[in-house]
Amino acid sequence: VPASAWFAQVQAIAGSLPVVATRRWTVGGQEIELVAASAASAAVALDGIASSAPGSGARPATARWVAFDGSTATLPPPPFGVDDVLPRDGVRGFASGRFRLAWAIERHVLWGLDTQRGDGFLWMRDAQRCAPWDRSAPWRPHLAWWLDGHGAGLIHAAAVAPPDRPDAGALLIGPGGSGKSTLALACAAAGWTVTSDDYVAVHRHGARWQATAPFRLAKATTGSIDLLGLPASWLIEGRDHLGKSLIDLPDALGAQGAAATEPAAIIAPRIVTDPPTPARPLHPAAVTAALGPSTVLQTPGDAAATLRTVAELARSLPAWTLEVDGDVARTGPAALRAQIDRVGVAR
Amino acid sequence: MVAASRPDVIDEVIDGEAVIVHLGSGRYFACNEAATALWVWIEAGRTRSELAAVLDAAPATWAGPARAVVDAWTAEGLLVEVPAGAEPRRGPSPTTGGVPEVRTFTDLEDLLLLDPIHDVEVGADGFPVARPPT
Repeated sequence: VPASAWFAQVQAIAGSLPVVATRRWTVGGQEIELVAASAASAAVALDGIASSAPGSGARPATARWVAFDGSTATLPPPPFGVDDVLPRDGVRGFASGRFRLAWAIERHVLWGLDTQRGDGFLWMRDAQRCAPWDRSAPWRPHLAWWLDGHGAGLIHAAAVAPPDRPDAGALLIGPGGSGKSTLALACAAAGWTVTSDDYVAVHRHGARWQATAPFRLAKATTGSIDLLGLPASWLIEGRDHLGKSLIDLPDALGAQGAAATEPAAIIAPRIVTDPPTPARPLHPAAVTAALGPSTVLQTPGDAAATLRTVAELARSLPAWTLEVDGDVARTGPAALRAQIDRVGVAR
Repeated sequence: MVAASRPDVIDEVIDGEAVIVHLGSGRYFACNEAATALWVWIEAGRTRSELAAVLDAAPATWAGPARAVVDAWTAEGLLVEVPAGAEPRRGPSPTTGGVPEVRTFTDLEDLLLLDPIHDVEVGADGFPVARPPT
């Protein structure tokens, strides 16, 4: 069956299902209408997304994505076979072009998007079989595919901004364990706006960039909870697949949780035990190397397009290293604020 | 003819320095300006004789490191043999500038090891599924 005919069949099935819950998602400069056809699929596909920003919904949605599960509908045999299964849930022949598919062979979750029409679906054979990350970061393939095609991107970075300056934020980048999430949570404890601690959508907003939150949850290790003295009331029930505690950013931070910020700088933080050395500027290529591969290897979008977006971001924002001593809660936000202010002077 | 292994390899040149990612291995590479000039010259396809001619004609201080870089790119699967193109390509010589240097990063390989290609079979409804362990 040609891909177009198969997608038409699935969209007809999705369109015939009852609407149990809907949500408007304003992310990456896009307005997306999310629909769930069962309570079980709503729990996976809707609960984990960040609330839409105030004023969202004023523009018509350009994409409509429907979530349903095996209890509501079965699908026709897929337009791909066993030899087409690729790493990272990829499907050969559907990683680029108009029709995109991703298939999780262990969990039996299928993501599909017609990138021309904006029609998408998320089908899970059994919602109970979904992984914690399917719930905490739903629609991640869709988001990567859709943003790639609209001059935006889903990138592997945290985004924060000082309490009084949402327009002077920072994207925090770096490998796992470098201190990116710990510094973001230290900023949260200090009253900053935290858009996200892990994945953030970025898009051009006039001459500047805007960072928006795709998802509600942040993650914290036991070590960073102890180090930062985070309130127990921030932690929600359950842990992620790596045993990290979960924080619902809007619940914990109110209006400053998962809210949009405008990054004015890219910062590669590192928590050190020796006295911190002065911040050093980073070449855009170093930023691209630090941010690009970890983004493209963890998202199923068009890798070349994603790397281009990262490079564009790296070219347009100043970037620095930032060493922070072990007393991150006390010194981290102050050091970051000082560096952001220096960037403001330099701009 | 050798060329970049598409679509497994993606690259971006930023302010004269290339970042190359091998999506299959998870390794990525940061090139200085001289290595970037060499990559840009070769990635869309060069014949072995073109490559040999450039290396033979260049000063040894450039040719030695350049040869090592090309060998490393080949060993890493960034460059592969492709069918010869119909038209000879033009472009500035890659020998201008300093000594080619490439930094290799392996810290993301684990991401791929966490997600190996499974033993797959066709399920009852036609979808590929992981074969149960025996």
